[in-house]
Parts: sequence; structure tokens; C-alpha cells
Amino acid sequence: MARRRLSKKLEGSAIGIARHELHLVSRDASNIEGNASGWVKPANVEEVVTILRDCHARRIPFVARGAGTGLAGGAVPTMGSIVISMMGMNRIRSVDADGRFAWVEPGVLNADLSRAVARHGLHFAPDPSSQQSCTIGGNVANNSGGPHCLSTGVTSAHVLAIEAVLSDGSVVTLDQESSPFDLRGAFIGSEGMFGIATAIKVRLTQNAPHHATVVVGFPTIDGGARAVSAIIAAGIVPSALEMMDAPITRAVESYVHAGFPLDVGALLIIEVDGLPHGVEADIDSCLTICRQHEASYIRRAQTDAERAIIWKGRKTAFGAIARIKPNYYLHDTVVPRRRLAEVLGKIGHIAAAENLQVMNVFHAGDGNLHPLLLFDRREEGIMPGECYPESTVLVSRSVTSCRSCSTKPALPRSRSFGEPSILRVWRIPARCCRLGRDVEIRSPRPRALGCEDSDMTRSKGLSSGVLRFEPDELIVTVRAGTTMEELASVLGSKRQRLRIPAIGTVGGALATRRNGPFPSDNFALPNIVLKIHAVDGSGNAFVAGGGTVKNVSGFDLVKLLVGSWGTLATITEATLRTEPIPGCSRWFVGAGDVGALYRPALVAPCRNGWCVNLEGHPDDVAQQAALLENYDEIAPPAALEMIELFSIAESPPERLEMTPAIFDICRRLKSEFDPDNTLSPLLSARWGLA
Amino acid sequence: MIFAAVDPDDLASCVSCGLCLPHCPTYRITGNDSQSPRGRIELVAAVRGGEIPLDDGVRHSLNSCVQCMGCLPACPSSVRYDRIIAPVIDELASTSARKVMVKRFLFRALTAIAALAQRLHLMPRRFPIPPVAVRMRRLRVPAASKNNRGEVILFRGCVMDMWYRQVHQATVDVLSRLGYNVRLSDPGMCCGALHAHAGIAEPASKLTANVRKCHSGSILIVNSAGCGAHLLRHAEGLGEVVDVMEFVSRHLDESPLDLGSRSDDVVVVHDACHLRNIQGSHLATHRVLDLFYEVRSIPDDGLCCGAGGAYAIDHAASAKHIVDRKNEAIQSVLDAQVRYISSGNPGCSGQLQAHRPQTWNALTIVHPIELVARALGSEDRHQSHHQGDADRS
Repeated sequence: MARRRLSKKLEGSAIGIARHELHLVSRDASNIEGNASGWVKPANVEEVVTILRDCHARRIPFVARGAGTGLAGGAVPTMGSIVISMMGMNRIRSVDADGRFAWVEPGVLNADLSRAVARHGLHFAPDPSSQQSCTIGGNVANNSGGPHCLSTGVTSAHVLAIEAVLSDGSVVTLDQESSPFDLRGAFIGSEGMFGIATAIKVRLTQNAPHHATVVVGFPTIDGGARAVSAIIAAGIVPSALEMMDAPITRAVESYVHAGFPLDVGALLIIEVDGLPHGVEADIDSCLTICRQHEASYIRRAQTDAERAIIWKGRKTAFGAIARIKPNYYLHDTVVPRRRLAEVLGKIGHIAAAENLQVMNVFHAGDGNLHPLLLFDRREEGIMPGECYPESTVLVSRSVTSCRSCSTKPALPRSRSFGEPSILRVWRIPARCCRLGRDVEIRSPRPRALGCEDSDMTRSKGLSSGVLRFEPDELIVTVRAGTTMEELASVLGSKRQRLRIPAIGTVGGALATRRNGPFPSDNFALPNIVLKIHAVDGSGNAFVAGGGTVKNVSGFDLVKLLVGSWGTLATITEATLRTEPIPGCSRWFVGAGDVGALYRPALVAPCRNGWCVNLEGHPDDVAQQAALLENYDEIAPPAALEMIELFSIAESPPERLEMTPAIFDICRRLKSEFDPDNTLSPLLSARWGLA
Repeated sequence: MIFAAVDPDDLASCVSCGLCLPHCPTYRITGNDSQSPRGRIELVAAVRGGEIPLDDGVRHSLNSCVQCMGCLPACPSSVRYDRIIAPVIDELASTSARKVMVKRFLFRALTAIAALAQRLHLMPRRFPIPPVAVRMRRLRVPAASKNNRGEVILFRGCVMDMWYRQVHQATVDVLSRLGYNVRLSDPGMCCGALHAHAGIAEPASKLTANVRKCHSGSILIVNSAGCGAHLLRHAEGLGEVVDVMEFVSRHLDESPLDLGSRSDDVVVVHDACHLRNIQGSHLATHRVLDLFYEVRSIPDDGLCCGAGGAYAIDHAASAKHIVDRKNEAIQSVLDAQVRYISSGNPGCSGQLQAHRPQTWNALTIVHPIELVARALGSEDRHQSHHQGDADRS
């Protein structure tokens, strides 16, 4: 009935109810099956609005669908949802090659976008294994990563703004500027629960001029895993570090014929890209480390074609599984890198004891494991009443028992909404994240860090100190009251750093998203924040995020808190991702075109024109510097000089131009986190949130 | 059981990863799961298992497959989609009007009528049939010589022989230059590829058997990619079935071809699905043409053009969508230097010809072997021109 009424409203994109279509849109690349009650393929924003308004009015749950290549059932409709296929919206709306961004619709395929901007020497950096098939909309919903996100970051570091339709049919634009909270960041990875993206402004990345792609074989997985740890510990972050075990290598090799060695225990694919001197120096160091760890096979790709086929092999690994068994259950989890070998051993142990066939292909550089459990659903008793074998729980337990902090269980979740309305959905983050009540700070009236008197450097009595610095993991856990200077000196002792300026306290930097002149890319806020301990306005302590180097699952509460000027919660402790200090860093001030530079660390307007910061191998930096005409070299500015040089505003925005829908969300967030307006009350009042 | 002829192990070997999706022309134009290889496999499995009925929707999904087999090389698990879809198409055709349609359109559309209709402007412009000569030229075949390297048979086929005889002539010329004695297959001998494509299994296998009987043990040179792919699949008994460009490519190293100077013309190479996805020999065309011309590939991962046997006639609207997409991809590599689009399959040539944008007036759609012959032939003219000069002096 509801369906019929709905279809009347939609001229040209009526709700489909054909049996066979519903059968197909009720499943994706996972083992989960749903039950769609209808499907529709809108062609533009207006149609999406009409559909969602109707669904809202009639309380019909819905699920957005892209290419249906997700492995966690993200596109599977439950509760008789309507499936909204976004494949009808697949245009690249505009490309700004100079500004290096593009507006695309959600149905654009990831690889198609990179192909379309290739003539500008650009690409879209997130490269999940399914990149040839998956859509940008799906990447946003899942905060997708991929082999190369080791150096370039996951999707949220590459999405600048999102045009979305909320479940009540209102159209909003989410970005980091137009609202006090980073709603963009919270939307990414929310698996379609906050609304449907109808256009996405993506950052485009310059193609690397030079690559080194090497296949390294190790006699055992253990040796490979230790080599990976050692590479990172040596201060090298390759653009990709991928590992495959022997059985999966065999399966893949029989498809791609990439010449992978079949007599090794584990295969490591190392790729370094960038400017030639840095690439060669880094790959040499990597290979030296590999040899120290008894690498038994080393082959470097000599041509682009050879490189392409190596990657084709890695990226088709999941699909090649059917050569062994027709079904697999994928577990996707991040563990500390140094415990890779231990966790893999444990998984192997359980698999052997339970007589299960498990294969491993994973992002070794991130510690992101993908144990694949093979089975044949036609076998008797393999599917005990559920859509996944019971024994997989054992494997998950083995992984979680190793204190992995970020697991993405591929179990069906209720991701369709309509029943609990959007109003409630936006409230979920605060509720579901109030876990760690044993955090040391419990104050009924905590003071805000990002307070309105523009003095960001005071620590407001919060305890300080670096709690844990794990240089091998590129992770530091620090109390919010620690000064950035102190943190910088601790990190510097191991030749690591945060790129953001060393001003004020860590808590202040986070609360105000103080990136200084640096763009909020993968090496800046909020993307370097992995985990936060905070206390909300009612005095409840909670933890958000996870303390591993990659961390994409669940609602991204961290993004909401970073840059909220202390109006939602007081950050007490944070885990941050550090980076190795590059070999050389030089600063220049002048005027003129800098388009020829390759991924400069910084290009920003400053007092005296434009300021450019080049980093990397000294020879590469020298070559790049030679491209700068009308620029003079300056001494690297100290943190406080940056404020002057870049005229950085040290106060929160006076007024924010918010659309009613955005304002509404922000007010609800505020009242959920801080109902009595005890946190930054003046600022909250000025923004109209209290 | 419906679709009983499909091997259940073939169906089970699909893990639904979706890596085939972008390589499927019908999925590309619709974005619908029911128009994708993954979806079709699931539908066959569901119908076979009795989960869903074989209704018009399922029928349409399965029949709308172009059978380009673009999904075959894309599949990391090497799911044999070809083995799944072929019996399904057969089974559907035996219960549908499609059989009659194919007969009416393909085998009664006699060439003479087509030619006449074209002259009288009665033929719709979008009908994928090239301009047809009213009177056929006889093929000129050089006399066999004992000194030659051996004998090959040019498979004439039906469509090629009627509509693209100039391609046969070019093939004969080039093969002779390579030092082979060329023998022609019987005129009108059909391989049955179109029948098989349309799901008319029985006549198809009869026709194929006939080819096998007449030419067992011979080297069969085929210049229609579709016929080549079909014969190759049923090659047992035949000596060798080889696409003409592949054959030329193989013999280049030892060939007596004097390559002379390169042309300034640019050729955009359209890879027929039959070559790329089934025979796996499409690179030979690039390699050979690269000797004479600047060669450009079409940047769309070799997606199908929508010709697919009788598909362009049977599913005209989809085929038009698909070819529009192809044309866009071609357009992206066009500039003033591009003179030719090469296509090794008559179906593709017809499809591209029928749907070419008006702005492509300066472009000719040709078979790659014609370009080779032309390059060598211009060499001839060049030489004779010199001789003429010498005579005069």
C-alpha cells in the first residue's frame, strides 16, 4: 500500500517490485541476505528528496545501494526496506584541476574517477580492492581504505564536502567550515545511517612521478610480519605494504600470472612512490631490512605493466577465493603492527584446531588483517541457522583477544532507519560511546578547553604528560593538558613529529582543530586523531575511536569533537598518529605559480605573498626548489612565528551561517552531549546552540 | 528442473565479489544488478533452485546479455559465465519468439534486398548493415606456388563474404605477400556462430560440424572475430583456427614484408569482444598496425560496442545506449590525425557504422587487415610510381 502511494509521487522512477530485481538487491558481496520490499533508482537530488520525504512520512525504512560490492552487508536491506540504488546518479559534475578537487555524484565508480582525471595528472587516492567496481558513495559510507591509504589516508582525508539528503528529505551541505561541528567527518563511515550523499566534493591527488614496486618473498609469515614492523620502525612509511600468505598467492597466481613465487611462506608487496631520490633511498632501506629478515625472493617491477599486474593480483585476491571454496567469511580488523605475527599465529592455531581453512591477505603496513574463512555453504551443517558459520566467531574471538581496538564484524546490523527517526539517529554517537567510566577525570562541571577568551594555551588544570609513545607503531597517547611543545620534544627524540604547529596544549589544538597553515589532509587534524577520552556536559566520561593506526569503523565521534571548541565535551586524553621527520624541510616565501611542484607539504598565502614548504629527500627538495621562481628561502618558522606569518585567527568564529537543517542537527548534538550548557557556555550561546 | 543443463559447480564458483560489474555493457548503461553477470548468475541459480519463478523479468534479464564475455577475463575466480549463459540462452530461445525473430531478420534479410533498400534509401540509417555492393567482385587469388611456405584456407563465411568482400581481398593479398598459398572455403559455408549466439543450438552445431568435416586438419584463417571465436570453441578436428591478425603477427619476424615508411595516419583500434575476451588475441592487431600507423586504444577497458550477434537488432534500444558510450570513449581519443577506426569483427563494424556521430565524417571504419594491405599496397604504388619515372627518363 505504502509502495503504491510512493510510486505515484515518482514520475519516471517508480518503485520497482519485480520479484527477480528484489531478489538481487537483497544481497551484496557479503554472505548476508535481506528482504527488500521495493527498489528505486533516482536520477537526481529532487527525486531522492521526494523518495525520502515519502519514506519519512510513511515510516518506510530504506537502504542506499551503490555497486553492492561491500563485504559487511552494508547494502543489504533488512526489515523490508526499500532499496535506493544510486547508480542512476553517476556523473562527474565538475573537475577543478588547479584547485585539485572534483564534485562527483555517488554512483561514479572509484576507478572511473581516477581515469577521468588522469589527463590532469591526478587521481582519487582511496583505492579499495574493489576499486574498479565500487562507487564513491559507497566509499564515503564505509570510509574505505585500500593498500595505498597507508601513506595517503582513508576516504575521510579525501572528502572535502558532502551534499546529502537527510531522512526527512532536507538537503544539506556538510563540510568543515559551515557548522561548528565536523558533520562531514561524522557522516563519512556512518554506513548510510545519517542520510544519502547525493554529491561529494573529493580531493584529487597528484600522480607520483616515480614508483618502486617490489615483490618480496619470505619463508614464513612470521618473518614477513617482523620485516613490516622493522620497516615502519625505521621511519619509512611506504605508500603500500601488503601481504599475502602462500595459499592465497597460489590462488591469485593462477588467475593473473604475475610471476609470484609459489614456494614462499608469505609474499610482501612494497610500493614506494614520490620523487626519484626519496623513492630509491626508501626502497633500498626497505630491501635491506627485508634481507635482514631472511627474505628469500626479491623482484622489482621493471615496467608499468608489470606493476599493474602485481596490483591486479593483490586486488583480485578476494574474488580468486572461489578457486578453492565457493564461499568465504571475511573478518576485517586492525591490530598493532608488532603483534601481527602473534595474531596470525593464533588464527592459524585456531583454524587448525577447528579444522577450518583460513587464508590471509592484508594491509600489513596498517596492521589491518583480513583473515578469510573458507567454506562451502552447500555442505551439511556449515550454516547453523545463521548466515555465517559459527566457527567464525572463534576466529573473531582470537583476534579480539589480542586487544585489537578496531574490529568491523561483518554481522548484519540494523542499518535501515525510518523506524527510529533521524532525530534519534543523530543522537546515537553520544549514547553508544559512553563506555569507559573509569577515566580519571570526573567533574560535574568541567571547564572547556576551547574557551571563548581566545587564550588557547592554558591547560585549565587538566593533567598533562605523554602516557605512551610507541614509535614503532607511529602512535602516541597523551593527556590533553600536555603542551604541544613537550609532545614535540618527546616525539623528536625518536625523529617523529606531528605536522601541526607546536602551540598551546594538545587539548586546545584538538578542540580548535589548530592546523595552523596546513590543510586538513592525512597528516593534520582531525585525521591524525585515532582515539579520544572525553567527558561530556553531564560528567560522563567516554571513549571514542580506537588506538590503532587505522580506524574506520563505527560512528566517527572523534571528528565531531575535534574542532568543536569544547562545546560538546572536554577532551582529556588523545591517541595521535605521528609521522617520521622527513630528511629535509625547506621554506620559501615569494609569489608565482607553484603548480609544477609535486605534493608540496604546504602552499599557503602568507603576509609576504605565498609560502611554500618542501619536504623529503634533500636532493628531491633541491630539485623542487629549483622550480620556484621569484621565491626566497626563509628559515623554518617557529610555531609562534607561524601565527604571525599566516595571520592565524586565534579566536572562534563570531557567527556561523548555518542552514536551518544544519543548525537543527548541531543544536540536537549540543543538547545530547551537554544538556545544561556547562561547556563553553558563552560560545555555545553566541552560536545559538544553547 | 529449469536450467538443468547448467553445471551447479559453475554456479557455485561465483563469490559475488562484483569485479565483473564494470566490464558488463548492460550493467554499465543501466546500473541494475539484474543486468549484470553477477546478477544473471544469481538469477539462474535462484530459478534453478526453485527460489524464484522463471517470469518475464528473469527472461528479459537473461536475454539482454550481449554475450560479449567481457566478464570472463575480469573474473578472478574464472567463473565460466560462458558455460552458464549458453545453455540458458538455448533453453530460453526454444520457448520464445526470439528464434523466429532471428530467422526473419538475419536469414531472410537477403543481401540483395539490403543492397536495393539502401540504394532506395529504404534502409533505416541505424540498421547495422554496411553499404552493400549490388554486384560482387570476384576474389582475386594468386596461383599457388611450390616455393611458398604452405597452404592456408581463408574461411569466407556468410556475412563477411556478402558484405565485406573487400576484407577478404585484403586478407588474400596480405597472406600471399607473407608467402602462403591461399585457398578459399566454399562460398556460403556458415560456421553457425550467429545461430549459437541466438540460442538456436541444433542448426548451429550442424553448421559447425559441416565446417569441421570439410576442413579437418587445415589451417583456417578467419577474419571475422565472431566466426573465429565460435570455430575456436569447437575446434577439435580442425587443424588450427586463427584470426588473420594473429596469424600475421606471428609471421612478422620471419616475413618478407618490406615495411617501408610509416604512415602519418592515426588508427583508433576497437577490440572486438570475440578477440579480447574469447580468443585473447586482440593485442596482435595493435602490434601489427603499430608497424605502419600510430595506434590508439580506446580508454574504456575494451567494453563491448553492443553489436553481439543479432543483439543490435534484437535489443535495439540497449544496443544504441551501449554504442553511444563506446562512441564517447572513442571521441576522447580523436583528433585531426585520426583517419581510421579499425574493427576486426563485421558485427562491430556494422554497429559502429550505423551509430557513428555526424562529426566523424573524415573517419573510415575498416578491418585492420585492410589497413595492412593498404600500407603494403601503397608501397606497391610507390614502387610502380618510381618505375614509371624510370621509364620516362
